[in-house]
Amino acid sequence: MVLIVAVLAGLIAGWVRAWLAGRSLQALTLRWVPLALLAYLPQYLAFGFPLTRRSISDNSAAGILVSSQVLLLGFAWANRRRPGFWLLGLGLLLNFTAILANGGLMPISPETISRLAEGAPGSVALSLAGTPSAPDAGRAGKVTPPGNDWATLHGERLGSSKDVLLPLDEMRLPLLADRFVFPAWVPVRVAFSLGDMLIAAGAFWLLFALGARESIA
Amino acid sequence: MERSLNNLTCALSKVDRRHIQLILTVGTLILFVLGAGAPGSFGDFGN
Repeated sequence: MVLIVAVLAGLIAGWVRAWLAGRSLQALTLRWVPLALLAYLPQYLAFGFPLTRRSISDNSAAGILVSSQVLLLGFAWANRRRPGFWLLGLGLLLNFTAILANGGLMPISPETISRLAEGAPGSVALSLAGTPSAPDAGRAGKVTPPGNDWATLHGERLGSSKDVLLPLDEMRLPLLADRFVFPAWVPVRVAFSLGDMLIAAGAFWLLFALGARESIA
Repeated sequence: MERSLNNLTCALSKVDRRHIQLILTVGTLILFVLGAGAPGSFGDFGN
């Protein structure tokens, strides 16, 4: 959602830029477009589509995420001369590096989860995908760690997300992990990484460039 | 009249191509950021 907001913001900014200059947004042809679709579709099945995401194992989901991002790296490289794509590619590379170093999923610490929960309405609940140790876990189950102690869930994938809960001392490349959250008063409760920030900036830049006077094709 | 119609048709086809290209670019970019990004939404953790 946060990254989609960046895309929308960039589109609006680019449109305003073009409108102020009395122009239309430029048409920009990206290379290897089917590769982006080919890369994203498995991720959607593994993390997004409700009918499939809970039936895919954590190991399979990690494999899908890694291979999918390799394809996206290829897509970013093919379009590296397009405005903003070096930022997009760098952000992806940082995320990919963190994911690869931590078993194929994006690491997130218990401390970050706690900060994330500060502004979340309702109780802090977590659903585990196929964890036999949690009696209420499963497709319809939600568990709350005893005493809200997230340490009991170390190494567990968080629901059907791309994240895995790891303590900081077990996390590789913690600076690249999902470690940033908005202040508690911001209603959007999401943890994001340095790579996500670069991806958002790159997306904004690309769309803002569509409103430029000079051709970017 | 015929020339005007031809000019209009030509102009419309160009506009359509540009809009289609823009939609394709934005759509592809959305796919990229969704695939490349890995933000953890609290809603996702609960599902």
